Amino acid sequence: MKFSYSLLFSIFLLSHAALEAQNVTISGYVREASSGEEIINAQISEESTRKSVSTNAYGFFSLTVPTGKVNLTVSFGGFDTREISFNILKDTSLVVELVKSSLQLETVTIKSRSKQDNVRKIDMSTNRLSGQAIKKIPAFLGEVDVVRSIQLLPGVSTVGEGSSGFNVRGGSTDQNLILLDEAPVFNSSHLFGFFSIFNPDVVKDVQLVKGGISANYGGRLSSVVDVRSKDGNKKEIQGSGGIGTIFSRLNVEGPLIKNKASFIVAARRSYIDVLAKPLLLKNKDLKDSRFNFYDLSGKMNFILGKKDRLYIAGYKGNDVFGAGTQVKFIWGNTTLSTRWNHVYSDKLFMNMTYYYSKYDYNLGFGDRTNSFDWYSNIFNYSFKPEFTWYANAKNTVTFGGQSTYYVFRPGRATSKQAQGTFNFSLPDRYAWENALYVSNDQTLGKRWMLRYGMRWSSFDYLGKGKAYYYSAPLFTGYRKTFDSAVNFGRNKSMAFYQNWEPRLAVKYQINSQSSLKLSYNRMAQYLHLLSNTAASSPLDVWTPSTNNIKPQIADQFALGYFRNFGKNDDIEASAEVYYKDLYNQVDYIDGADLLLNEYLEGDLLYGTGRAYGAEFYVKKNSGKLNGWISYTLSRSERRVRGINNNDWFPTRFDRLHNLYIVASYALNKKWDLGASFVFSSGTPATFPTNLYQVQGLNIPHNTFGARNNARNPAYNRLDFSATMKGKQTEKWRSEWVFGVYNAYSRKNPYSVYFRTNPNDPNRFQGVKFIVVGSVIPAVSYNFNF
Amino acid sequence: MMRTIPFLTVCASLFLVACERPYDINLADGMPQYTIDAFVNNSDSEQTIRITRSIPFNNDPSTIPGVEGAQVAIFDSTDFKVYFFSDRGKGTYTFTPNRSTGDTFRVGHDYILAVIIGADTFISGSTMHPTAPVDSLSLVKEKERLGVKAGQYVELGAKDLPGKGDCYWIKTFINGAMRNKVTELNLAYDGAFSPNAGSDGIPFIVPIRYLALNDFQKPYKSGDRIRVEIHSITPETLYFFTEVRQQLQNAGLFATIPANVKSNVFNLNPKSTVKANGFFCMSAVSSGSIVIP
Repeated sequence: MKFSYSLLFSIFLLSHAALEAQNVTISGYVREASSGEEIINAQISEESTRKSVSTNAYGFFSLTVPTGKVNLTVSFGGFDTREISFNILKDTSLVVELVKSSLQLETVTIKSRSKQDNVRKIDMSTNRLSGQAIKKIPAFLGEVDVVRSIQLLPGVSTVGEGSSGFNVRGGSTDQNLILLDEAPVFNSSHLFGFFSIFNPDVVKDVQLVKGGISANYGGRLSSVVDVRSKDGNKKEIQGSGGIGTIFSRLNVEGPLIKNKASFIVAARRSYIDVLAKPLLLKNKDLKDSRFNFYDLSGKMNFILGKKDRLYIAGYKGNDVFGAGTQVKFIWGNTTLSTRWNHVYSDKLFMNMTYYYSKYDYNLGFGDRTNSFDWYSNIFNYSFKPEFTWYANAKNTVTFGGQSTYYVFRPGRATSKQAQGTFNFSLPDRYAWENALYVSNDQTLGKRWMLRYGMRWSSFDYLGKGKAYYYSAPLFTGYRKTFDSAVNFGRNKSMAFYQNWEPRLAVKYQINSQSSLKLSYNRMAQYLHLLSNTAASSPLDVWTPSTNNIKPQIADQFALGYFRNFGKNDDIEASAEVYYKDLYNQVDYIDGADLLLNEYLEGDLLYGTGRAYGAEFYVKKNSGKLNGWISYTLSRSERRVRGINNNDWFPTRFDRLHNLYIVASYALNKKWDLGASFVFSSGTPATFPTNLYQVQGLNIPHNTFGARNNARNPAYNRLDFSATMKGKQTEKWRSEWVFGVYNAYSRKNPYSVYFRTNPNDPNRFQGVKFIVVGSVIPAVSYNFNF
Repeated sequence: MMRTIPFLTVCASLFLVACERPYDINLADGMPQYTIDAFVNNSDSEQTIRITRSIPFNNDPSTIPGVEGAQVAIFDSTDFKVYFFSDRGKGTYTFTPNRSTGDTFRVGHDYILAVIIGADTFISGSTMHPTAPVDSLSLVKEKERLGVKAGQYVELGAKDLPGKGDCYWIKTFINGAMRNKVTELNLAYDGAFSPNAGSDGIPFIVPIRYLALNDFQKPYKSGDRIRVEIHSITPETLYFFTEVRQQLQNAGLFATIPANVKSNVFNLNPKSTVKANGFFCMSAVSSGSIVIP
């Protein structure tokens, strides 16, 4: 990458006949000068009218101003701010290129937005992380990671190391809509949550939205994680990579046609299996062992004239575990998305996305003569047009829709024996989800901003298939008995649901340094991840809403105070409170059988949930020392008839206190230091009180029938990292990253339970299960060329 | 599917430093409750029902006290006959069937268990379903391989009865001693593990007919007499044991939330605070045996 660019911006004047009475529109794109990469969320402000807008996810903006002299300021964290003045008489379109701040400043900025965004924008309960910011956080085994970084933000928690997914504001892990270039990802984890599937070298921008969710997002209750990948350098070939303790990474990007089309390809693979091979080879049963995970991402984009852009992005990742030929366990995601941007006019922008997304897993054991093989997946095709109409200086309207066709394969299982092959497969399930939405961002005077919208969503559970009917059990909380089944033909509706989902956000600007924000959103979710384990596992099965399983609904209210401090508003702070009601939350009878069970719905219970809390966040954005402190006080509870004597009980992921501290310090030109600290209250646990015996088996029992009546010990951990810059030339830049995870070797229990005492098989013994119980050092080498 | 979970944990552990450490847990005090352990079959041998009282979780299970002085009876609601169990002391109640008088338990009949302890009456119901016959027991010679010691092992030849929803508990006895650890529980729903179209009427799948009959670290010795019994059980009983197994092997990364195992024995007075745990199941039994040469 070159930093010697002196070109500040280029203006392409386009003639447009249409002249509005007094107002004209400036529209265009903001790009990074060195690579031509579009910048998301760059701020464009006009001085005299004090109007400002941000670029959208495709780097596009549109701003309406009166004719005459305009003074534009274009800014984005980590880049030099540009000021542009010119006389404007008619609609104008321009491309602004921003230059990266000089080297020493590069280490200083960890945010990916303008300084006043925190206070000035209407978004609340929203956090943005750039690829660059993520790289500053000390990482497990030296591998920086998107999802692990998100887990350090207010309102976000996990059950513990080794659990896939994360919990946002008291919601379960399946309530997060995780989008990779607009395609949903059903399991964002490699290696049981230790790493996420997003290759940090390719990530351009990550946005986490926990509340005030706008109408263009839907389908999950608790959050949106919108991951955007880089488009690829449009000007020259460049690459980066790394050799780490667990992964190796490499990515190459460059122009296909200079300034018109570019590509990026990236790959990661773990190599613990390669390193262990000599050891495994000694044992002939283990020589075929496979332990690896990998992902491949690729993207191309084409600028087709002044009005059209085309993006094609693909992702494939897998985790592969196998012991010899006898056991195998594989899971992975595949996504393919095609997006077409079209600028109808200076005021009307369209993005049309078509995507395919698949999550599948495969489990098998046995040998050639006797084997068991199980395969399950979920895949969907979706079509999503979205329009942004920059109606006038005060209103921006977003409208669009989405149509998604799902196929669920809950389990294809076969058992091969000498007598033949037996099939245990469950039939496929089908569904069609649709949504239409409209949302308006409106400015009222100097102090008020509103965002109001409505989303209509519907879900059709389709044939071919069987709708099952159950009779109520004698006692609530017991298995429902299967009553009858009705067969439906192909594409016949077996159950239909629709929901109106109002969304509202209000901002009141108190002064230039502080604002109050309020939001309400209703969300509907038609897919459910069935899991009765403590941590969600890659084996958990996604199921549609059916005639028995109703869609999940959530209502959330949030109120926040936003304030900037310090010289140049360098310190941003916020305090938010939220309250969330959740309906139709799926729970399970005790001893539920979720896998390969045709009558699974008889084992499900439904209840309501409530989650509430307060989040405090202070972030210092520049200077030698920067970082953030996040503290969340929260509760997440559930009430289900048939569990815990029908009383409220804390959810498995309920943690009262969550304190996260992230800091990085630029020691000198060569060294950067980083540290993070995590403290979380213990998760709930259920313990027995008594013991009884049936057929010679000792059985634990809680005479109160309580759920989550006790607590595991609290979780705390300190990590360090140190980055040493290596060779820095125009052709090759490198760095060494040293990391220490769990610096004081805290033995954080993942869970506490009882097992049979190995010394006395007739007795039980309390045990804490620790996933990471020692200091884990790591070193990795990263390079750019 | 329980077998997969330990495997997952092993996978994760290979990479990490996951470990278990003994840990003292402070437990709340519970109230002792009755336990009714009533597994009765159609064989001619003496049938036993145990009534005991639960103890604090950390106590020694050998100190579980028996409940004496209860009245125990099984009512055949198909034939309208009552079979009384005699109190043998220490919580043991027995009944010996008599084929000549027709006092036996029969396949296809519905039974009601009634237990009266003081002012409380506990009842439960069970149907006796037919069981799959033992067609054969055969020897398998294994060579040394991963997880398997060379030696002789036993395989059961039997297949699920036609019709969906048959459940079985397959017990293995070595020289009269039953393999009765929780890890050795061998349960079948039709020919496999769970309700599924594919497994009706098929020979029991390998994990049931072979893997669960043997300890692959301990091959059978010459002269060992191996007896295998197939007990028909009600689907509720299968779920009961599934829950027991889940509760007793609930460890590691993907442990489920601990929960009380559900009983099918209820106090006739639903308002009474006196509750009972345990289970009642009527089984038909088939068996076969083999002597290791």
